[in-house]
Amino acid sequence: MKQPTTPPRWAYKLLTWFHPDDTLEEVEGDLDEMYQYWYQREGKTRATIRYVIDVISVLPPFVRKRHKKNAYPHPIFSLSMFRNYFKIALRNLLKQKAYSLFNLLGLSLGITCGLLLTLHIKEELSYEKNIPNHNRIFRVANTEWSKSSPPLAGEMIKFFPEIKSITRFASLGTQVVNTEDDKQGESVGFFADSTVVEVFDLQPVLGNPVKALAEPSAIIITRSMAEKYFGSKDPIGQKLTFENKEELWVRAVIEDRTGNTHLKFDYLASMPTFYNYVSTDWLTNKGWMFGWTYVLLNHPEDVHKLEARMKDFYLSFYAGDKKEEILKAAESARLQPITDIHLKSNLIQEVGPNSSILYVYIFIAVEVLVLIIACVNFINLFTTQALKRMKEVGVRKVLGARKVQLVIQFLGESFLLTCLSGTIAIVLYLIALPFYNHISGRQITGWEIIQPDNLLIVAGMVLFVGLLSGLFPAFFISNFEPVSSLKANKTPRSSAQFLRKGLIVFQFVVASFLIIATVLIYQQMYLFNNKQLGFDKEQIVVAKLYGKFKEKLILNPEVIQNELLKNPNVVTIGKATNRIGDDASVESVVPSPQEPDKEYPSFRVLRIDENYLNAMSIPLKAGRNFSREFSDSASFIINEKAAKILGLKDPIGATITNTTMNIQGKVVGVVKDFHFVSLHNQIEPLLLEYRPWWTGNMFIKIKPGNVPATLDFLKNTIQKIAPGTLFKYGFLDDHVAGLYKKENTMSTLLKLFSILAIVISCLGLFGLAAHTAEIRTKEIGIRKILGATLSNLVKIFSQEFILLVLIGNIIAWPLAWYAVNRWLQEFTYRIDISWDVFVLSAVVTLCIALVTIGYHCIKTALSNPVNSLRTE
Amino acid sequence: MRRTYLGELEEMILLMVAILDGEAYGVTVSQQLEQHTGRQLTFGTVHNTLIRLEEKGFVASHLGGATTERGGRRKRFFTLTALGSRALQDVQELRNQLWQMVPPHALQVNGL
Repeated sequence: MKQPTTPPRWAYKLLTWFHPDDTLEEVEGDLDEMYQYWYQREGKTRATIRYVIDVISVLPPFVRKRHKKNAYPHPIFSLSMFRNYFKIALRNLLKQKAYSLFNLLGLSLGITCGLLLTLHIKEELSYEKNIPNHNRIFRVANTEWSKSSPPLAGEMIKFFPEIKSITRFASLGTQVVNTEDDKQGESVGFFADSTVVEVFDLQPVLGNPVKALAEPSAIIITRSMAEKYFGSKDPIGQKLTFENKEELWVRAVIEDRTGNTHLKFDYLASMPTFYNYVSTDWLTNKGWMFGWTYVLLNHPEDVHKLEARMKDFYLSFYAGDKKEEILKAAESARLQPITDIHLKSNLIQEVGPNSSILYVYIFIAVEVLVLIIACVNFINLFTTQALKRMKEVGVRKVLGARKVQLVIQFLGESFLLTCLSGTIAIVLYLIALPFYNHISGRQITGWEIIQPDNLLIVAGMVLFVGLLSGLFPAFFISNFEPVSSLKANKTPRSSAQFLRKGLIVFQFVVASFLIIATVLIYQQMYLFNNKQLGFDKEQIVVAKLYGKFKEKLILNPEVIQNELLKNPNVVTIGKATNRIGDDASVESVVPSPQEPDKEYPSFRVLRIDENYLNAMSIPLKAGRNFSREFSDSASFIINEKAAKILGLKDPIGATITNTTMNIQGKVVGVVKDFHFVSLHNQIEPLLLEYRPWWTGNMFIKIKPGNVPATLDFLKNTIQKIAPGTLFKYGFLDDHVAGLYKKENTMSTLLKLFSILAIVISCLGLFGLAAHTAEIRTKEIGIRKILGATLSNLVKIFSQEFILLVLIGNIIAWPLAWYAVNRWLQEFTYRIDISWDVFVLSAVVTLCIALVTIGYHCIKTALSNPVNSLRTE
Repeated sequence: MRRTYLGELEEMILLMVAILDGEAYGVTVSQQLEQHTGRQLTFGTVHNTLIRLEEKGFVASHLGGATTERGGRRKRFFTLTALGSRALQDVQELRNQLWQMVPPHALQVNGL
């Protein structure tokens, strides 16, 4: 008989792999027969071609599936099956109490974190979004300055037809306000043009705010301020006294502004009021950065037109100046979208401290990481648990369950768990909220969670976690061969093992990343809080000077200071224009005679009295302090940096000029460089002028011990000297710490979330160790019988986990180094990253891992081998 | 009035099953089809059509016994069901009726 010829193997393989099982046999046979037939009639090549074509014609999607005759119906959604699934899920949950608890706890913690962080991020992104025209409002600024000059607004609106309206704000800051009925309080406000009503869409409640803001000595107040000072009385026409001297009349009431904004105010004083303070030539000064200018455009896209024509505008606005300088200025001009200001603007003299988009990114990253860790945990635990149910899957399959049904069953279980976790998470969130608000300095209320978009976030997270963690086990388990899953105890397949190990490594990458980042950020914060600043910030009370008290203090400084110094706990009283870290005046200072063609950077100027340097313990390097014995109004003290910049070898006695204020004088002293701004910035050249009558802040150095009594004394004495004065004070060190508020907040939050991440990882590890212990009980029993010691067993048991944790650490190191290094670039003064932090993270994670698995480890190793070996 | 629509290819294959009378399975059907009509169809077309005919109830199938030829793989034999033969007869009858209605001259022009 002739040897039967065979069709090409690959095509045959293709057929066996992809053709539906129930018709495979017959089709194989048919095609084989056809091949023989063609082979004999037309030769090998033709037969092969036809065979291949025919094979392809019976592969999906071309082939039609044969449906089994008399197959049972497979309802996917049947109530009784659902009831059964639910029952099984519940039984499994209760049977494995520890697992379920870890699963739920880990996931709930993760979702709680996610919720808090989402709210935080949402809040950060919500700035200015409540202003109806927010996409059409831009702030006129340049690359350095957030402020602009007084005449700019008027000229811009004439030049650009795209501008619908333009308004200016000048700072008034926080002011002490008195009513005629002697109600007293503090309120925040600005001077503003009447166009502010249109640009910011202020809603009038009483009176006409547009008209009011065009009148001198007029203010408009918000509804809540009206209630605070006047209660139910009609506020219109009432007099308010600011800082005990400026009297303004309420002309209109506006609706409170809702939502977050960088421009917070309780009242707006009219711009004509501001004109009273300054001479008219200042108002046409194009170089005076007096306030913030906001434009409202007709159309958001018009901003490009404005930017394109900025050069032309500058040429006409600054006509007469040097052309290169104008072009340079035009180059730096910016129109900032108002919505960018909170997160993306960090210019000189911002309205208030802004946040940074970097922190939003960090928080998003942390949120995603924590959520992923929680999911990974859940996947791990859910899979291990589900693997134990191979028998159940086998039985279900034998009884005719289809794969879809099994997938739905397991997905449903994971959703049941995630929904439960979601509910627990909401409870945890409500518990955590007060602490969170305390740390982050926010005012989020618990009810915010009920807002539909927030509920949507929770639902989204539950869906995300449920799908992510349910899909894998669902498909993995439903694929089991019923026969093999019914046969005895089969250990889980190696692919699942590998996946689980990978996930553990991943978790520890995240955990050690967070540990390293937290420690390094903490070190940086420590640097901020403890760096030698060049002055002594401890035990200094800073009080704001205003009104009658300020007048009296300027008239008879001696008398009042002596009165205060009667208390032995008061050491020195100094005065200065600014607190440390406040934006000091920026002025131009040059040596006289000036070197031709040399440019000098601008100086910061601080006006002080003769006691300021003492009170702040700022050491003099050379020369003398200001003194009442000399007529020092034309004397200067400079810092070392200033001396260097001015090129003064022997600064004492040198003549310099403050060209901004047009004062010439001699340098009488040099102080050591001290950090009069936050550590984000380099020390700048500083000029100290003797102007006790200009100062706005009193610096009272007090002795430690019995601080409350000293404060009471100060308060009472000031009250005696100037009745009706609100003694508003703060401690300098608190104020300095406040300069790093956003970093401090971030550091605290990060600390919290990294602890959570570690806890969640450990929950996972704990569950897994329990699982491994269970699987290896018998092995350990045998080893024990054969003479293994406890330490042997612990070693065998834990070395696998230790390896995983170490691998996780090693992967995390470069990532953490890179990320923290990027963050540190933000700061002028920063820590060096030292290697011991990395070792620390390894040691900490290892210890935590060992403690976590140690329990199971020792429990298993100590158990009587007889028990474990007898069961079968 | 036919109850089920029978496509042209389905009709052909159904006829082949009838012709083969118990000997119809994938190979014989496609070979017969090719012999008698000259149409070379891919095997998948024949296979799918047979399955579809079975779903419609025109044919029934059973697996034959294992033989040593074709590596011991069983054949699936197709036989005409009552419904199938009825369907074929219906088609035939309908055709006859329609033929009767064609006026002789209309055919002659085309036929010659």
